[in-house]
Amino acid sequence: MKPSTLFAFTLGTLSAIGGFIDIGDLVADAQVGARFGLRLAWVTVVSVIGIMCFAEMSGRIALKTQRPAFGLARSRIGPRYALAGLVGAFLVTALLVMAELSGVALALELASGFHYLLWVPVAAAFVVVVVWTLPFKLMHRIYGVLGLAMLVYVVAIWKLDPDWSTMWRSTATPAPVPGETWGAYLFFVVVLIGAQMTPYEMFFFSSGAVESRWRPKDLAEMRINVIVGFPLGGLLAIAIQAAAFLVFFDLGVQVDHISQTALPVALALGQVGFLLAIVGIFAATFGATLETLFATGYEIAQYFGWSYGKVQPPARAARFTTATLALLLISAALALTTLDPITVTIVAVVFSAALLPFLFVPVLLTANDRELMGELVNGRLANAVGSLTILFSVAVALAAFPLLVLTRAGVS
Amino acid sequence: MRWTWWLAILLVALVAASVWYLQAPPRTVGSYRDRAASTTEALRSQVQTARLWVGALEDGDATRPAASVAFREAEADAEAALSRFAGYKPPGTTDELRSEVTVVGREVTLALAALKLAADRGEWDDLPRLADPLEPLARRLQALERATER
Amino acid sequence: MNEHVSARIALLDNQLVDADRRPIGRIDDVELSLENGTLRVDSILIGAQALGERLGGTIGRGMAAVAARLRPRTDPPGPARIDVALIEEFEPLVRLNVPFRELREVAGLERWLARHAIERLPGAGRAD
Repeated sequence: MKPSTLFAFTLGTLSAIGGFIDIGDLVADAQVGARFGLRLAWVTVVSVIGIMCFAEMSGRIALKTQRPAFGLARSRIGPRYALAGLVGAFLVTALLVMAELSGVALALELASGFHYLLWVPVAAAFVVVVVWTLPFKLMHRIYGVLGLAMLVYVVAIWKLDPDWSTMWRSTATPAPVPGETWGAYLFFVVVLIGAQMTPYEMFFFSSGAVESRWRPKDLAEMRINVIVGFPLGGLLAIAIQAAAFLVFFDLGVQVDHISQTALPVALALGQVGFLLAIVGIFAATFGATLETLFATGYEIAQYFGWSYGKVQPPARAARFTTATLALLLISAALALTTLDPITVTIVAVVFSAALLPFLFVPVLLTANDRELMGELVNGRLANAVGSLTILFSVAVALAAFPLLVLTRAGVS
Repeated sequence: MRWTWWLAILLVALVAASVWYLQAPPRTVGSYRDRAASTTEALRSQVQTARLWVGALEDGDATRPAASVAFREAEADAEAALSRFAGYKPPGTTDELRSEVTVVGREVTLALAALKLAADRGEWDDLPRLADPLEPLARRLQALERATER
Repeated sequence: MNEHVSARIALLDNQLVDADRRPIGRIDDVELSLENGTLRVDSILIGAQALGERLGGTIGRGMAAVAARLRPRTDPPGPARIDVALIEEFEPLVRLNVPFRELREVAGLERWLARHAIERLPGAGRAD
């Protein structure tokens, strides 16, 4: 492996951690662990496989065509369908920008003790400064390295000295715990899928590949990023579930706050671990703020064919820059309305889960177009896994809203 | 394009029905008992969370700013859960259940408020003493929860 | 231009770039004329106004109305047009043989935002 390959490898891996773990995961994993133990860990495995498959496909499309997957959607499936996809994806990712930004503010609140609403404008200003001054790759590298602090969750599991046979039994029981309903269990399946198979990761991954000017020769590098990055994110997600299980389950604690997500690490590893967890939460939500923000900007710009991206001076992509800045301002304003960021997160991930099939199908079709993809056309494995993922996501999408209403968002 | 209008009307009706379902107060004894059970569950969750934070502070595992944030959240959430439950009109023979839940709920919010105020004032040494009532409260809540669910 | 290409596949909804491969917009519609019994593409239309008018319906009309209002007053009314003679190649992207700055009537919003907002921020660079 050449040194430059190794470098790019770590870079991509780090940004995948930042992309996978975001406010949705920090909330949903801890909630699920506290209520169901590891009985939903299989969902994370399914999500990781599904998102790997589609990230790889959209990455491959980007390598071959030098166009991101969503950019191709409009000319291939028509402006009407693509517009519906754009509106849906825009609403979900815009909600997520607000939630991620609040997540940054919540991490700063935990570190300082000052109310998070005071931190929202600071976080937004910080995002603007970072986006404006740092180059694309450096930006990723910084929050990727800081995001590694999330590994304290894995260490915390060992320090909490669990009974491994109990952990295994919980993992191997895909059913609700006594006292919980199947409705609540299935609702959290939807929530985890929505939090972990996020379409913005796909948009961002493929647009990032275009911006980094990856070419077909970079195929191996792109695949290594996918193969190492997403499973690492999945491992962290399961570690958060396990930590919440070990600390909260027996006490009957329900997780409603980021402070509770961080608490198990404090109990296991003391103040140093706790501070690392806060750094990790900050980096993960900050990275996700940037990614959701950019993904939303990319979606709009690619639909209308505007110039976009960070590799050129902002003035050469004036509409993209204006749209992104406006979205950040709106998100900050929305966060300041004291709308509960945790509730917004849960609603956003349920909507996101309901949208998945609509966003996956065009990618699968494009990746199967032999004329367009040439030697990089989908193989059997990608098609099999991709089709199964789409079938699963259709079931999730159909169940999402009925479950949201009937279980009162998982309360009963 | 007539059918799009029908679709739009259907969607609006569905959303309205969902919102009504989510916001509707409990009307039967059974659903009122369910709400009572989930309220006590929520209260116990706040009590146990506060206890964990007090323990973490005593062992030097957590930072003070974070703990004060956690106490603030626990008090606010307990208050919200209690006032939502107290806002329901108890149907039929549930007056006694209502008073049981609200009485213990008031004690919970008072105890959590004491923790929050002590943390805000920087009286960290008082926390273990102020946290003493939490454990019996948690046990009472659990007993009440069991009795309600039966 | 005498090439016979399918307007729907080669033109409609495809990405349009200038001579320096800078994205301008998408080909949102085409203008046809009837000449001796054959349809001929005269110009391509760019911008959300053209797209909205093409999509039609409530949503399309709304999009066209918003886009019409967002056009700078100095531009002539109606969707922005580009003569097909300016098209250099169709694959992989539809590329013109002129740079963006010479296409005065296209992407008015982009220019207006660059001049009045983004260029004024420190470190934003220049649009042209």
